Amino acid sequence: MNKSKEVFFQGFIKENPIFRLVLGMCSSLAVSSTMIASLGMGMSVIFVLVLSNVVISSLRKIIPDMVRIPAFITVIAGFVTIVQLLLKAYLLEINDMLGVYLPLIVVNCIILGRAEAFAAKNSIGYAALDGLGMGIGYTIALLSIAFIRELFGFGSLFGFQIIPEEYTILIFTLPTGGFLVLGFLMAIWNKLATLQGKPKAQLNCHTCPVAGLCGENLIRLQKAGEVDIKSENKKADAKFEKLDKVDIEIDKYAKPNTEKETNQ
Amino acid sequence: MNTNLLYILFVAILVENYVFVQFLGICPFLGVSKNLKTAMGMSIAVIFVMVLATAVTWPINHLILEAYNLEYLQTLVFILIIAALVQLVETFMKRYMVPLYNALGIYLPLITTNCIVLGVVLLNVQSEYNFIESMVNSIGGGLGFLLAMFMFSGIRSRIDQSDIPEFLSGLPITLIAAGIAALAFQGFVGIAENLFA
Amino acid sequence: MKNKNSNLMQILKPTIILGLICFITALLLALVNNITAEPIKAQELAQENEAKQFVMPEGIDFVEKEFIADKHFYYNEAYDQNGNLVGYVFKNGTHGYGGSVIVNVGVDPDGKITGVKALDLAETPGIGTQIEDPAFTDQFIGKTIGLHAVSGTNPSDNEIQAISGATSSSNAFVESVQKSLGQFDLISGGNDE
Repeated sequence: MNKSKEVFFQGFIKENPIFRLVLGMCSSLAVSSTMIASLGMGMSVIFVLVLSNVVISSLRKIIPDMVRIPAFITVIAGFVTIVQLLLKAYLLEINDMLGVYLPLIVVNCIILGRAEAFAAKNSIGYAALDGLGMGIGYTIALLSIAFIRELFGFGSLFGFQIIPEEYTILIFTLPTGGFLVLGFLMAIWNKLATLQGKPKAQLNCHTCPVAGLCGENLIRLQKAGEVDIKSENKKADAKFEKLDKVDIEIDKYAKPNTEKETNQ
Repeated sequence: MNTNLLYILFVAILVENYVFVQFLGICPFLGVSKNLKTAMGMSIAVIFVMVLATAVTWPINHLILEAYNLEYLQTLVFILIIAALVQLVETFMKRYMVPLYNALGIYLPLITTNCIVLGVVLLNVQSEYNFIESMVNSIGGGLGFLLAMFMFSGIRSRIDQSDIPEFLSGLPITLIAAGIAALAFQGFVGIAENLFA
Repeated sequence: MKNKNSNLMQILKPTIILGLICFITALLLALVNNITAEPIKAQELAQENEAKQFVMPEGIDFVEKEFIADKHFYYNEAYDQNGNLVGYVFKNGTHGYGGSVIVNVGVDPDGKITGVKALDLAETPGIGTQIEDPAFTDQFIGKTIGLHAVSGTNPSDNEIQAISGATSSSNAFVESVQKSLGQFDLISGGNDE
């Protein structure tokens, strides 16, 4: 019971996909200019995340490791297309609002990341809970960005005018507004995390859920030292040092070649 | 060269910059723009795959998917093509172009899940570009990505050396800097219109 | 021999499973597509009709026509509930900044504009979307050919006051409307002869 509770709630604040894990940044910046679009995006992501987590978890013993990633992507793309067709058929306005960012859920790191890091290793029940929790966390983050952007940029919330239009601040609706609001919210999240003695949110190979995709070198490293995005701890840092070493080795390896070329 | 193509190129690089205006490819932008070497490696790999993906998906979309009313398979087919292409390029490079593989190999697999590649392919379809226009748009989009990465590898090394408030350091200050850069790119809006009108 | 067999299986098995997953996904999508195809069409039609009705409030029924002469384009004839021709709806676009501006224009048989509406707005949010503002679009109603945008105040008969800070969007919009009026001229010219 306790574990399911933890699995479900960790995505809300502690492991919030946007503010803590730094996943799915593209869509969170793009659709967060209004609350309605954010809610539509959040719901679509929850739908895809839960279903793909369930399917991948139930197929985890059948799918061979070799074709793991293409198989995951196929499943995810299938569910994304279903959402797309359903929205087009019954909520065309939301579909138009999300535009190209709706099909791009396929490559949203949250979904593939959760498939890799959680669904492929856990039972169906936990996978569903994790998908739901992470999806809700993502929606919470989107809505909190959109709350600020829509309130100050358009003077409205969910389309209801609250601040007269003469007093709105245009910059919140522009791309710049997205970057700034996300930046400051993340700073607040970081501050809260450091107060509790946790590290700041960061984007490195050892926090990237799809790091396993990164070339054979990384895959070998991953197998040696089990990548786990939950533990941003010593083990991960040590691994990151290893990555640096790989980089240096590659440098060494590449250099003789270039020298040879210049000699000729 | 006709002005329409120049217009598309200009718009793709500056006005609709995929990173600053369309928010595509933010993950690699934040992740690997820390130093110039990795930033360039990543961008060149992205341009390479993007152009290749466009060259392959455009005919498939027009000759197969649209011809047989299978548009609903677009997302699925495109992402699988991109994944297969990346795998193919990686294998080919590893065997025949070792120096290039050593430089770009690490970034290639990551590009499969990079939304900028799928984004460009989908936007080409959505904008109803013909083959040449699609190619120009992809090249422009890639160059725009390279520009953003290049700019930020410089900006971030400056940020590293400057004294910024502790709670803003790390990702927040990078995002805020990106916001200011986005504002600068807003300035190109309108120039394209008057330049090619 | 056995070794060779298992090697083959190692490659074959993942391929078959991946193929199977792709096949099932595609099958599922075909099924969903079958179910949603009708509603999607209906939704799109409703959306199009709504956009046409917005610029031609009297129109109920819209019939697409093709114009083939020195220029080739499509337009719509609008009919009211009694089946009388009440006007035409044109759809034209020009490059705006950061994307194209496509405008639906309703024109009554006398050549007066009954309404304008921007479609597919790919413009910079904020500045560009102001061309949806009635304060801007209402200026067009009742106007005839020869429009151009001005940035000053107090526009005269054939002038449309541009949105301040979005001159190029305004220009693109007016240009699109202008194109539609040109097409109306071609049609009505053809009818007179």
